[in-house]
Amino acid sequence: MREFKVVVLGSGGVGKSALTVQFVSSTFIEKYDPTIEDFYRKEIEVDGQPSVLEILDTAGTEQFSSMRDLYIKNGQGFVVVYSITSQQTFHDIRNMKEQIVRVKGSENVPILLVGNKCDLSHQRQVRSEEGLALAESWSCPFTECSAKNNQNVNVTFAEIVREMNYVQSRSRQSKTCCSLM
Amino acid sequence: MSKEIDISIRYLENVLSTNNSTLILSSTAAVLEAVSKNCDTTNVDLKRSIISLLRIIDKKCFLNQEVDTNQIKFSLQEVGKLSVKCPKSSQKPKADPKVKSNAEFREIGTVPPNPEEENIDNLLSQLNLKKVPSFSPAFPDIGDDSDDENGVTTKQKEEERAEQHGQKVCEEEVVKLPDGREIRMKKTKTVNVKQTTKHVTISTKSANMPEVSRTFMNARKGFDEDEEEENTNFGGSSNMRDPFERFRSMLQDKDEKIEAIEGESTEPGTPGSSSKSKTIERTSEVSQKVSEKKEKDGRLLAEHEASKLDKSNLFAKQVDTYQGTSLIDRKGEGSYEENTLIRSALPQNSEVATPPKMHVVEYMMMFGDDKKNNENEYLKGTTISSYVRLNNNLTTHEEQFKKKIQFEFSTAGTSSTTIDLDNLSDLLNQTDFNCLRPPAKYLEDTPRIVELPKAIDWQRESTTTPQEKDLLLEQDAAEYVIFREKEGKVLEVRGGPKDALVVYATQSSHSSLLYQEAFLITFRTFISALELVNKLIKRYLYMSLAHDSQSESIARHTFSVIVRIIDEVTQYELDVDLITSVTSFVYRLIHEGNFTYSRILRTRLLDRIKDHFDIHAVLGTNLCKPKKPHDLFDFKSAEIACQLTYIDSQLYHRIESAELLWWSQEQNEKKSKNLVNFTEQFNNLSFWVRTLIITQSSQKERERHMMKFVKIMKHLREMCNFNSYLAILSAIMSTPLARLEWSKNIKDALKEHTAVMDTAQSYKNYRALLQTAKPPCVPYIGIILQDLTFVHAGNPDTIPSDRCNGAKNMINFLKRWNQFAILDSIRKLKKWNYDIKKNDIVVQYFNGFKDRVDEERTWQLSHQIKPSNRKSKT
Repeated sequence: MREFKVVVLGSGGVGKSALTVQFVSSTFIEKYDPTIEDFYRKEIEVDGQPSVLEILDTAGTEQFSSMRDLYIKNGQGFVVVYSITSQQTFHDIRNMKEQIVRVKGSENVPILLVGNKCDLSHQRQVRSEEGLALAESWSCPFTECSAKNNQNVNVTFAEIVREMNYVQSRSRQSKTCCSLM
Repeated sequence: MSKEIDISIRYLENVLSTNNSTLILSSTAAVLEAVSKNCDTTNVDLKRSIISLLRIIDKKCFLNQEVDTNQIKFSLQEVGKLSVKCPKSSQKPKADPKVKSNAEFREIGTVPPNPEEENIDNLLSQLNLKKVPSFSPAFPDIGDDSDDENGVTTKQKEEERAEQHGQKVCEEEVVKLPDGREIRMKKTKTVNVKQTTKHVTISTKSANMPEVSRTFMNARKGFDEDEEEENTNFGGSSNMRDPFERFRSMLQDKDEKIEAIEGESTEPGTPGSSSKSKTIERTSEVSQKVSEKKEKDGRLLAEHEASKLDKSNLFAKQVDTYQGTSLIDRKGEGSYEENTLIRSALPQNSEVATPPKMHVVEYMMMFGDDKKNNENEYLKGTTISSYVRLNNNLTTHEEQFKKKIQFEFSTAGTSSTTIDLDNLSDLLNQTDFNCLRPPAKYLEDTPRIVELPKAIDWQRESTTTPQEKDLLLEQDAAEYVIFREKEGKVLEVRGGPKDALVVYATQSSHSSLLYQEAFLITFRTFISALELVNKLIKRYLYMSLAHDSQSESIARHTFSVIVRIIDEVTQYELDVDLITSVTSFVYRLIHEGNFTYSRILRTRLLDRIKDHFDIHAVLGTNLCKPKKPHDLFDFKSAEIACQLTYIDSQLYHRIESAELLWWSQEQNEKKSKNLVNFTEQFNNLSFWVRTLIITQSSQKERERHMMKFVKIMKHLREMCNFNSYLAILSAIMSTPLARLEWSKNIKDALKEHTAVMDTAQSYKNYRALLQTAKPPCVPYIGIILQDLTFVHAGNPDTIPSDRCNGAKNMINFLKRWNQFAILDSIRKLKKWNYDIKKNDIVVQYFNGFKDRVDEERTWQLSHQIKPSNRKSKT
């Protein structure tokens, strides 16, 4: 089975942890223990193909700016999250794509832009169009979701798997093309 | 006027002009102490004058409000005048000291304690009379590796134990006769015991024969001259299992010196004052040695040896003051020190074979026997432990444990026993969390209008029985608490209404101490410190009104919880409201004549308020600039690692559990100041390291610097300072540095470190490393924050109402158990400290890690050194 490492990035308070928790524990259990080894691993089937996602969620450690490089280095796909209820969090991630690209040393990085907390539409500060525009400039997919109501959560992670599949196949093509040169 | 009061008042008067809050507050505390010691504390006017003095001082110093100094001076003079008028009742005895001057308030301070129940001996029996368990190190089992079945294998095991105990008890009695004469009696007892035993077990095994074991025991009569006599007392007891038993029985007939200095007897019936003091000094040393040898046909196969030395020292003093025959006051103080040294010699070519385990160090403790309801002693103890690893090569391995407990008590106060931590891991290992035992009675947290908790002036608040049901005033709240149940057995607290959880935490006779500990660490996730303190004060005041022993005991335990909360209150929580509530409670206690409690509480509050932290004291120095600036290579790698660890541990020890909990919920930099300082240090160090390496002009210099940091990292890892270790590692592995070319040397040296930062499987590698780390230790706090964040995100705050018969707002305590488990592991690490002294020259060289370039600049420099492929395309 294919295995992907996905890094969830974004400022504190955008609900990253809620998003991850919602995804990794779809069934209701009474005890969440993040210290166990496979807490952040989850199997997901996308377009008939099963794969395993290992999620690295930086929630709680946003303050450790010097560790961000390491997180990014370890990841293959990136879910960049902001909260639609906070313009600040949207502003914070504006340069995220550039950072990821710089660390990975490649333009072809699977990224997904996610606006969380869409259940709080009455407090919305970031319009969907703004999110979409940023995604277009990054040339990556965009989605809005609600971790609280489990709305679009699995779709989000399925989308990043598709992106990773797509980028991988493209880089394989370009590699063969390069080696020909 | 008593000289003590006079001096303390004059001192405070002088100090007032300095305007130094700390000085004024501590001098005020001295006045309070002097008055409570030397005056009749039941006098209403005196109490009133003290309260008004405290009020005005607190207003000035705690709340920083403008106050007229003359007003303080006036209050102070009032206290002085009244203290002259009301000397301690001992000089003018009352018919019955228990008569209450004010029927509304109970005089806790004058309830005579039962001298049979609370005394220093009971305390000591809990502390020192611990038998040193027999030492059995785990030696690696070296199997017989030869195929030769015919040889003779001999295994020889030697166990030696030597004990030496000494005790000196000095009792002195001073009786003051009404005519001014004194009678002194002094009794001194000394005992010394020495004993050694040796066991040798030899097992022989030859081919096709069963193993034969022979044991030799040699209980050498190693008593020296002095102990010869004792030997005759105990010669018969060859089975000396408990060395202290002999020791205790020996006390009765050994060396008693009774000195009667003035042999006049007290006339019976004269109510003179007398005091009895007792000092005890104990020393104990037990050394044990175990060695094992395995031979085959006379050829040595394996040899192991390990030794352990346990030392303890105890000093205790108790002073009883009597009025006639009734005990008025009992005070005690003392210290106890324990020292353990374990040394194991390991065979040359073998790895350390003893399984690594975490050392659990006891909590800050409050001693005392909990089961006795009439217990009146207040004890506090702290455990300061340090762990010194002298060397850790493969031939010898040495561990040293130190524990020091200091205690004091007086005849008022509360107590509780130490806590059993082993239960925690058991508890959280349980997977079946689904069996809830619903409470016998439901009381929903009525969602009244949510009001912000505010200060309550407890001095003026009246204590009346309320109209509606108030859980806080119930003696027992167990019926309202939800427990986990397994096979009909009631297990730990699973949840309940807020007030029931609060009350249950003060019920020491029922609730497990583990619950109390978990409650104290995590309550901030469902109730603010101010709200909780107010609830507890309400409970205390109500319970202290009643006269039955059950209520008295509850009041004491409630007070003990209040003290604990104040002890651990954060700077952020110490706002005007909380200070107002606590200080007004102090006035109320004085009003009720309970000077002991009021002093305890006020001192603790003062300690917390005084507890200012200046980061400059850690990161800065007062040195003048050196003529020639230092560089990295002026210092040994080990010294740099030590100083980084010094800084880290200083900052780390400031972090409170509450800050971590808050951070996992709201990331408020104001609330979690110390945490922010600590993470900033991490980032600053990381960027400082990047800067130092990347700004070097030649490849050779960059590599030389890189290599130096790799060496420093190695030392940091040995010292278990994972904070700086990972900060440097994150610098070295950061892309601007990692993308450059490095020599094979450096690449090889880095290999063993890079795996540590693998994020896979929830940082499996790092967690494993931390598990095996020996304290003292500074962990990487990021993972703790991440764990707490996910526990918070993943577990609901309240138990779903369909799980508890539709009741709403039932606090989900399982979530708090999980948070407690994470925080507890780091609290344990905080019990240890490094024995490192600040080296100003090195710290000055660090310059607060301010000489660093930002991330953008490191990228620019990196691209200057090695142009990017990506950019060159465009």
